Amino acid sequence: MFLQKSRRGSAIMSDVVRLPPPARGDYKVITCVMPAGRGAEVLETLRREQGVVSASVHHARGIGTHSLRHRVYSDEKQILSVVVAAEQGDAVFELIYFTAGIDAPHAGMVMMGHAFRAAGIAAHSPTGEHIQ
Amino acid sequence: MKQRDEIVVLTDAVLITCIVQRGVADAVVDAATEAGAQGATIFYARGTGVRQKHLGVLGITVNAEKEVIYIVSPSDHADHIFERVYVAAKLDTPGMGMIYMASLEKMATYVPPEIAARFGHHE
Repeated sequence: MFLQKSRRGSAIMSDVVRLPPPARGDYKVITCVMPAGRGAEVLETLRREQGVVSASVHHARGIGTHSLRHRVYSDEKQILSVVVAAEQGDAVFELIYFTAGIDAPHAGMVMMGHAFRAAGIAAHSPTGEHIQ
Repeated sequence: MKQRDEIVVLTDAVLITCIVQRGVADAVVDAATEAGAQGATIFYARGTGVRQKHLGVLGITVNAEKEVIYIVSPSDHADHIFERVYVAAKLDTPGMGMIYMASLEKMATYVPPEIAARFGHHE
């Protein structure tokens, strides 16, 4: 997206627009603990439906204390972390909740916190403005 | 029947994040669950800090491989869990790791219908 076509038609790195760091703003940090294996699907849905191009997924081990059969149980999880503009927060939160299947027992959780400065969360526009 | 676009959102939740040397996470999770936490999430990371800068030859006693523990708890219970984890992980010792808690604006998870009904949520 931030690469422009040169006259010869091929994308070259010198066309990248250099920008100063963004000023303070209002952002949401959304973290989701979901069953392992759903991360890639959630990332793809975020990109397609909300235009979220920057997010991170890694693996983790979940430990719970409330299970019907066992006092303590362990489960393989994936954690998705994403930073979005504040006005997009609720929509992304809901999208993750349903796409990751959090509305089932022992699936995990999704949580939303606050950040006041962020960069690299959206593709740069060719005109040099930050797209939020 | 529950609507698909319906989310029971919990507020006044706190995320406690604890970073410790590899192998210590089980002790941290035990302390947290004993203090009332309902669960925890653990993953691995690599750390850097006083080990390299200030501990000198003692630095070899600190493992750069870390375990990160996420614990989500109600805000009125979080301080208790925080203190119990702090003691269990021996975080008063340099190089042992760190812990912080941050408030969450909201969080959502599966809430059994009978519990949601108790708080005035109708199916």
